[in-house]
Amino acid sequence: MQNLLKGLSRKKRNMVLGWIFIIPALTLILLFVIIPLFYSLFLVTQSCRGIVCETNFSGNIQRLIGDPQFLQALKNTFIFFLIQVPIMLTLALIFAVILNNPKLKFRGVFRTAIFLPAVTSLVAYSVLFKMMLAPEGIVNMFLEQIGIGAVGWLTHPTWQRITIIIALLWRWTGYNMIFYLSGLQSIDKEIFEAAEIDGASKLQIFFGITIPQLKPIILFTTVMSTIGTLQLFDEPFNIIAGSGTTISTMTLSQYIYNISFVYIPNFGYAAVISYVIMFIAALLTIIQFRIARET
Amino acid sequence: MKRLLLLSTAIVLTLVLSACGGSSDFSDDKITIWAWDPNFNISIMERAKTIYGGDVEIEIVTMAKGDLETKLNASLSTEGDLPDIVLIEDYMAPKYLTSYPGKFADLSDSIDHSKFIPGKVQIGTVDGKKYSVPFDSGVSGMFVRNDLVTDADVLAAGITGVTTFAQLTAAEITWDEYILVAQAYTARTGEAFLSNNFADGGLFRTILNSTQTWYTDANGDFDFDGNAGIEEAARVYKALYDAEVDFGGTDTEIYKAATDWATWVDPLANGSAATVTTGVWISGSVKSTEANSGLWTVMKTPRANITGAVNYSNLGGSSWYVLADGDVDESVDFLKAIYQENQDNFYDQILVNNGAMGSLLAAKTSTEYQANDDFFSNAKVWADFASWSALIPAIDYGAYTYEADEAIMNLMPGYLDGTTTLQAFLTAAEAAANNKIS
Repeated sequence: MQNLLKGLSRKKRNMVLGWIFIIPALTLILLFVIIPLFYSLFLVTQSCRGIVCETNFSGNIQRLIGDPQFLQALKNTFIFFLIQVPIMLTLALIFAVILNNPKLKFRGVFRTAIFLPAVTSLVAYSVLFKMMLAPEGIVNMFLEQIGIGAVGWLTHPTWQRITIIIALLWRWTGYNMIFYLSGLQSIDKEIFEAAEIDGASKLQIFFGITIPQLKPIILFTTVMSTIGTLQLFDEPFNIIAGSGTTISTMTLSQYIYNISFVYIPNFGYAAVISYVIMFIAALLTIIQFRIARET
Repeated sequence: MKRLLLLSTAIVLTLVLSACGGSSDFSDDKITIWAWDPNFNISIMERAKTIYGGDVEIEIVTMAKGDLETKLNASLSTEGDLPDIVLIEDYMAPKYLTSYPGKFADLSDSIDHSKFIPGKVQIGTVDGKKYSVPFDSGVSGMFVRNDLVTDADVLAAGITGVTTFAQLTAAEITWDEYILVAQAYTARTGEAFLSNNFADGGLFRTILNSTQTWYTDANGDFDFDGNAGIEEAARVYKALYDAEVDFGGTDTEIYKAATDWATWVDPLANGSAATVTTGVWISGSVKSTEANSGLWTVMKTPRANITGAVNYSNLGGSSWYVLADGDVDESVDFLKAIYQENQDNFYDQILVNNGAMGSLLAAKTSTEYQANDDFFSNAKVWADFASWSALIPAIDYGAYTYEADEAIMNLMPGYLDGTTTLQAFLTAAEAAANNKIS
């Protein structure tokens, strides 16, 4: 080793050593990111049935355009995105502001309680939700006791969506709250004090100081939640699938999974849809950055 | 420094090698078997293993049916972990065999397929090569609780001339008559007459098969719209869904809504559903509640209300397949000894203990098939099932039963709710099914 580096200038030696250090990481990235990426470019030209494949790029595109299931999955994903993300981020912000109040007692307990769902296993909590919301589960038994009557949480198309949204809110609100909390704590307290002395109301402070100061973090959480929703898989798969028809909750990711493994595998068509998701995610992120820059 | 370099080289090499690995040959002198349903397929394979004895180690892996099919797809298309023997349902077999050429062992020469029911062998045959070791039949029947359905007004509700339970079970009833009896039963007891998962196509296929039609036409193309059998099956589904009665002031459904296997089967054990109409393989689950011994009676499947429909049908049924890259010889020896040569009267044992109707022709003549079963009111249920199985309308299921099934079941809620018409529903479902296989 020493001999190998002998005779090289200090700069060159550093460079060689540097490369040696990053080779393991590079190899991993090459194997699991770069090569699959290029392979997926090849895959979109293929139409497969199991291990029997043929080149048919235009066929894939034609199928995509006329695919009612794809449109349904796209619609479902956007319903979750448009309803769940705003509710979740608003709630997270409200929780963060409340829990940031130093006068509040048991702050630590509340913070932990609200954050805890984010560290539970996706599958474990999905199974629990499924049990609680089953046709004769604890939630329906309670609703029947108080005279409202049972609800088709897992079986009725509209309620299935509501179930997923409730589950997502429970799981992810606390996670986003933590970002807002840390953001709030980095805002200079003097700004708040000055505003209070000037006689600003709580609401004025919230909209005039808190939100503008948190803008970068709000943007970050919005982008992350957008991408997260586009990749939504666990909840629809674990809570709804198998309980009822999945058409009203099937997301794009779940559709890709179905095409790859549940139906006879067609990795070519699945790759086409993954590219669609990638373009949508990129587009939405660009839009969000634009909006954030303008306001 | 030297050590660091060695270490990093080792890591890289390991990664590269393991990535290229995925060895296609996984012979390990142990027979691994994948199957579903602990009360039926698994229990039967455990028995086969005990009978076979021998030096070969046999490992039986239980999975949910859906999980097994997903895992099999994933492993077959990615050189992943595979068993030596796998159970595949008849509806799925042609699709697996044509989508994964070379992955399943051709058993034409090692198994004597002439000893099995020809229709069953046909399902596992592609291009003249026979891949299956035929297993169970899915001949259907209606299982009724004789201790629950007893009241004369319930029995007389739907069918002229029927006033006793014995007359009911001897009758060949239609689904409309079934619904009338169900309504009378629920009106009197407040309990459900059946449990059904309306998102599942099982009952739908049972009705469809009995009408002598299928999801596909003679050319193998999907044919939903204007298909009398499908229209009738959809009508029956909606009639079952809509039929409710006034019990104690509230509208009560005649069914118990199931969302999965457990919620479908549990009401059978605890009596909260009085009947189940499905394949004979359900006897394994029915019999698993010993306290119910003597309380169940089996009768013919209700008939659809169109010409050509019969009181005989089929649901499911499956066969064993051997993976070409596994321990083929050991696996074939095992399956042959048990399933073809009927070692220790294997078929009698599984008939009595699991309610399994095998496909071996010779087994049908055994005395057990003619025996009375005291669990089922001491009737000759197995002789009945055997004779019914000969009368099931013969249908070529084609390769895409589940694609069709899913397309229909996905749009079923709108039809059940009354938001789409039958024709709009079937037209949209046909388009969706066609897109799936394009």
